[in-house]
Amino acid sequence: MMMNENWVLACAADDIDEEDLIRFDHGDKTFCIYNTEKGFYATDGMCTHEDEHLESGLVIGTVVECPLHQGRFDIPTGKALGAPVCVNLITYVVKKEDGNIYLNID
Amino acid sequence: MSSIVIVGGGQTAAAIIHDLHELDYQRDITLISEESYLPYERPPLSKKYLAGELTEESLLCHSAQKYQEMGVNFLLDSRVDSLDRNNKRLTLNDNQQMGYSKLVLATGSRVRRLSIPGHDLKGICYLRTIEDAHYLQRVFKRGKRLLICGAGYVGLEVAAIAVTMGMNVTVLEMENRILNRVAGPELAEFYSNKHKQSGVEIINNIKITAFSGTEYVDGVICNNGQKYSANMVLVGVGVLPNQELAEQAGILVDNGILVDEYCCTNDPNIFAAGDCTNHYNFIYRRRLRLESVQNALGQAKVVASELSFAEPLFTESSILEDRIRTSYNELPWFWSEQYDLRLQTAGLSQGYETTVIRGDIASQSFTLFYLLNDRIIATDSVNDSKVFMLSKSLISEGVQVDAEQLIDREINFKKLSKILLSQ
Repeated sequence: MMMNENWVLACAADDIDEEDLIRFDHGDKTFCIYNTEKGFYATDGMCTHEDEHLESGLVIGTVVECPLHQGRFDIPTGKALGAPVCVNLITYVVKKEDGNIYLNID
Repeated sequence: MSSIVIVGGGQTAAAIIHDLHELDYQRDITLISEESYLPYERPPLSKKYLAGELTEESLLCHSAQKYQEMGVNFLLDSRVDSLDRNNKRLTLNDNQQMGYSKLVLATGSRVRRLSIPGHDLKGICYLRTIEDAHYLQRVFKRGKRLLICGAGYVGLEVAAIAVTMGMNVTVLEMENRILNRVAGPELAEFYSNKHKQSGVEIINNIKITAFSGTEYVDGVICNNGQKYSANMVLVGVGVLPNQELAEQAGILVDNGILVDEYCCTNDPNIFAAGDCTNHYNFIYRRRLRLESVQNALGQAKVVASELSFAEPLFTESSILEDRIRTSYNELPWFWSEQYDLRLQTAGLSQGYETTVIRGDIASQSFTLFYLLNDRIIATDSVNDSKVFMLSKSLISEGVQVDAEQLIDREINFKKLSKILLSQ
């Protein structure tokens, strides 16, 4: 698969604490960038259940929990892990280069 | 003949269907619901939906199309009148009969009604169904006077919306403080102040003895002899479990349908889940009847697992290989939205010894810890989601805590909870 050149600088790797996430907005889209034990990841920022941004969510291992109704997602795959969330999060490819995190936005 | 029949069309039923689908369950599922709507989320009815901020469609747990894709048969506006356990057969209100292999009772709760004089006057509102919410939406208008009987979650949530809408609101509460059943005095005082600042009148220690009015209710009469007039009256004094169908069929009930940790009743072919059950909680070591979405979803998951487990021929065998039989053992938690306050409660606080507060009540962002024997047994968090989420493990693991550390905001709470959990 050809990776296009649509890399956007999201933040410095150090901006995100271990086992944590930050919000990243770009244009009219909003994302969450995660720093997990398995590496850096990115997903859409909004929970797929209700109108809540995951930026205040809790990261435990590679799972993010929505602060509103505790819906949980697997960060690397975006998979909804159980009620009340049943729609997966869209994930985006990230790369770490020179201490920075880049997001690949289609 | 349908294989699984679910009686009840609320969030529990929707979750069971979803979970069975995730487990690739192959046999027929039929859902019988008294309601006219497909299963929907009930909590928004006293929150954003009542305020007109959500569409009806967004309340649905799943769309009609999704159910079709999952192969679920639906009977709405249908009531099960009797259950014949010997012949594994249900009789519906239109005399239709339906057999089952396994039955799930997810009959939920109904509102407790005040049967005092005047109770049959028109316009006395309760809030449980979408139709109830629609009625309130129609009659709520700026400048109108609303009396709310009962200062529990529903009463207070509606008070917040009504006063924000410009209505004149008075809440009448029987006990000596609001949220008496679910929260301690500090939280009650905080919410009381918030409501009063917002223009809601709260009167405690008052009991309604009659509704007044000729055809329509025009107020209430109380035990202090006073009449309170209003354009409309909302009653929110709790719910009762719908256990009658089970009881009549010889299923054991006691403040809910009795189930074991696998949500099974005394009949091995009949499960029960959600608001209607009475079940043992291993954290608090007592039986509970919970009125919460958490319980609905948690028990639904166990039921789906049990139903799949019982019929290995009809489930993807690869899934079975990884199957570990899990019992229902979750920490109860609840939430409420009033004004700009998000209240999230973890655990049950009854029987606490002391409380400590992390954060700042004035800033409207804090967590109240309920302690017993140096352990957190419950927390009430207002606009403090991270601490709420982290507290859940601290409560269910029963870790010993140092109250001073809990409230020290110099200490990162996530780091602290990790340390406490590793002890």
